[in-house]
Amino acid sequence: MSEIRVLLYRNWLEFKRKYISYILLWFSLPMIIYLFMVIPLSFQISKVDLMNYRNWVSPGIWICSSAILSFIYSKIKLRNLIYKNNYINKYLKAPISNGQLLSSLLFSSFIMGLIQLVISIVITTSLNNDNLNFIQLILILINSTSILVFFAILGLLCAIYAKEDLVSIFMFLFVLIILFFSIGTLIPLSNSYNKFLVLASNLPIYQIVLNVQLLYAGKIAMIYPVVIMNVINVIMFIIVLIMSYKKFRD
Amino acid sequence: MEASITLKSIAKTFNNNTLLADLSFGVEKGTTFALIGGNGSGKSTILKLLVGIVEKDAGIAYINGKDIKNRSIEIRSATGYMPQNIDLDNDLSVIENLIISGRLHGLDPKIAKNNSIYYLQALDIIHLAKLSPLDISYGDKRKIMFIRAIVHEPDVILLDEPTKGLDPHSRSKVWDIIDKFTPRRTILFSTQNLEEAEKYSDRIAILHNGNIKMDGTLERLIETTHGLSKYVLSFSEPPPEHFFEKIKENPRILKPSLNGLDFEFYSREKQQFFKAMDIALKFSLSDIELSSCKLRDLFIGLTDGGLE
Repeated sequence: MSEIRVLLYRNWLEFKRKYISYILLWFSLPMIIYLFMVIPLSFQISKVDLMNYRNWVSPGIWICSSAILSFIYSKIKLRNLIYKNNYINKYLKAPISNGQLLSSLLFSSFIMGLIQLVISIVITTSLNNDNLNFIQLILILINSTSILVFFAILGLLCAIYAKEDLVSIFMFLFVLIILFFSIGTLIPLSNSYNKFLVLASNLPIYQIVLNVQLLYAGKIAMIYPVVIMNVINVIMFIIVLIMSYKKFRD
Repeated sequence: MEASITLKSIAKTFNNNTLLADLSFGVEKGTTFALIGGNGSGKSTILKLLVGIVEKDAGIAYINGKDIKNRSIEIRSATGYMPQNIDLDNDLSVIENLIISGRLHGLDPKIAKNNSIYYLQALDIIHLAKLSPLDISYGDKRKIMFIRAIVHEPDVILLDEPTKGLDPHSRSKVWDIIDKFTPRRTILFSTQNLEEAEKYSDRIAILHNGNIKMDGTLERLIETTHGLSKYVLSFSEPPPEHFFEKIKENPRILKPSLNGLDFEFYSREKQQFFKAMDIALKFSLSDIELSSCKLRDLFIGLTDGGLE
């Protein structure tokens, strides 16, 4: 455990050096999504479930911005470790396990995403003059964290395989498209082709997005998608861990 | 004496290239052991294998009596490794790099900081403590990597060409620190600098094509030449072709070669030298040099088809 603490301390030292860039990123990411995705889409979609689109889309902005940050952070950090200047070697020779190394990266990515989530909530609620009570906020955070962890692990998974820059960019774009358009974050899936809707609505990630939207609208959410999502996260992390043993050492 | 590092029948191939083939040797506790060999002879692979960066295909290796296969925390805490390539963390300052490494190896934060400062001062680079590794020279980066390997004062220190890229002054400082570590700690280092291997190691192994051609103390290695001496005849003008033909006819003159105007050969009998001199005197002989075999001669001989 103390090794993970040292690795997290290392990430903190790095953050301290670059905190201005991170703060800029945290504030600009939700605004970029709002300006370049939400505003153009609001000309096409005016109302969703009797709710103004710009209000309905707020949970989508929170999830998209925080998931993107968790994904990018974990992917870049692990990719740099594996493929840049033998960085990984300095950790492999130290008395830490692959699990500890990956856990520290996962935790840091999760924290980055969580801060992004809170900042996105603050920005959108002030732009839309919304009010969220404390219980709503806590339930939204609980639901969203499983998505953040999922995308952070997905970032680790991509980092292990994306040796080439081109492959890495392609993976990022693929995740971006899925995140924006396929899980009901920025575009409501209720208007989409029936078979796709049936497929998407069975995905726990879609149900969590729906949960956050319901909580935002002051309705009751379901608990089981979060449980399923966390089980998926554990399985994915084990897969990443197994792959790391094959990838980290020649 | 107790062995600190033991390798038994180690084999490693990578992309169908044999890096190590049935390699076995041991390093006694508290001694300094040098690995010398040409490029691609397997020196770095041995060190990487011992710290767990590279997986072996076959064989067993022990550090302090424990199988490295388990890569236990105990083994890795007791080992310090300096790789050949620069792998400092550019996102941290020099001192942060050292403190993090020390703490990862189990040091208390305060001790990690104190040790880092102590060794930075010992190598005269304390002024670099707060800089990023991106802002410092190659030689200084190598010194920091050396400190990183020893900051937790491990029992077993593995150094891959520790003085590569360092100026003579810094080299001697690095060796001073290593000297202070012996005889309490075991040091295994690779080098291409044969003078350093001669001067600072208790035992030397000559590696070639992934296997040890010969190992032992310097005296023992030289002994294996059985009184072989090296002779150099210098000419003021290039000697004619038939001079070499005549010399080569003598089977007791070993490995004759011409380097510029210097004609080199090895022999166990002084008489052969006199015979060669006799022929050489007919040409423009300007100087002669006689010396007993050194590590360099043995190394060249062993890695280049043998002296015999």
